[in-house]
Amino acid sequence: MWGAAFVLVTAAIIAWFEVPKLVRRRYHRELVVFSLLLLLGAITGTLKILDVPVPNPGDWVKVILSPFGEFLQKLFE
Amino acid sequence: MLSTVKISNRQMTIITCLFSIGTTILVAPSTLAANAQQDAWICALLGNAVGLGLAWLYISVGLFYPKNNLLEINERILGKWLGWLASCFFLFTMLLSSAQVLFYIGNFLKTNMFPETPIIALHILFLLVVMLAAHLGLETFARSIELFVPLLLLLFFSLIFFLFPSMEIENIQPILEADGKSLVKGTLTFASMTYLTLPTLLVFFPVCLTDPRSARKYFIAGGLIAGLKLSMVILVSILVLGPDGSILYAYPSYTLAQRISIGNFLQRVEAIVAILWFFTIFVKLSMYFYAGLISMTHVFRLRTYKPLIIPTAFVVAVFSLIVYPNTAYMAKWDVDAWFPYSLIFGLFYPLLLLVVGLIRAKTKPGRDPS
Repeated sequence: MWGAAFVLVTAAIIAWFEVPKLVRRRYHRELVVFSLLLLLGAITGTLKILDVPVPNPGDWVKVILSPFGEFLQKLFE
Repeated sequence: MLSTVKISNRQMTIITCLFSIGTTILVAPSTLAANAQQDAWICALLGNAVGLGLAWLYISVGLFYPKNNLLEINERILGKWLGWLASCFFLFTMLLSSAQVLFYIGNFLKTNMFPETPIIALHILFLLVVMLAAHLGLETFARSIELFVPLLLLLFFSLIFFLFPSMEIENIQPILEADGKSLVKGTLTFASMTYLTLPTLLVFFPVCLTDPRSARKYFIAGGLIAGLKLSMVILVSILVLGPDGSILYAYPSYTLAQRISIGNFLQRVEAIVAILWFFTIFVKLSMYFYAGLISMTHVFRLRTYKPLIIPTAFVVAVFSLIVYPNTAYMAKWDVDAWFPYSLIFGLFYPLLLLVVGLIRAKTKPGRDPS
């Protein structure tokens, strides 16, 4: 619980310091990407700390590549 | 943005070398010994021959357009949409690899030095330095790494030198006992761990070089020096620990450092030797992270990467706990998924660029004046 709060507060502090700079310089695209990344980090971080299973990109790679991987394994057996 | 940054060819060699050594130095002896037992060092030497060809391939792709980085080359060679997709793939690889390398160093530190510290604290500490490196830029990074090279060489050769008393030649005998298939597999494993990550560096080289014309020589030299150093570590590991010992330990090169004992006086120097791994992993992680940031600016068409350093580091820190939930998963993923993935990233993708690039150069003689 405290960990989740810590993650969210950290994200809020980062936004607090960085967003005004971006707005002042009219970096709108940068601001959008910045917010998306920060949201991604904050949400997955909170879920991870609350022990909610988070999808693992490594698993996707493994699933997508499994036919190719099996082919390679057969090659060397 | 990157074109103003200039570094020398020697600095490129150093970065290439330390980048290839990267995390491989920690795990290479056990992975290779598992494939070919006492002949692992032969695999490593053969792997260097493969690596020579791979390094040549990468720098050839880079030299197609010496004034463009890999992401611009993607677009120029593959066209707007396909190039953009390739850049997305590259960005994904960079972020995934950053998180994985971060877990490598965190796991190593937690297992060997900080058993009570939560792993995320180690990750954040390590990431802070990497963020600073990305903030200060490639020039500063290259210069500071160059400063540390004498220290790293000293550490590396003293590790090997001090282990001479504990080497036993029986450990590598009988030579060439492994059959052809496991030799080939070991060779490819070594090449995939050491060389197939090198396309990452095409984001910086040869764009950021003061003298791109001689880049080929220096880039290949960097890769080869790294490969030879790794082969030496593998050979020493087998000579000292034996093939079974090398397989048994999670971090054989660290165990090697623990074995150093000169006259019952010079002992327990492993923490000092571990500095060597910190540096190579720092270089690897910084390059992945920095290349990730640069590719982000290309994928999303941004003007600067600087505001993205902190949120990207945040994402990498969180995902470092997710991509490898534990060491068993890591070992399995590295065998099942990394090998095919690295083949796609390090072999098929640059080959595609080279082939399409060659066809384009033939049909349309409008190459960059270099």
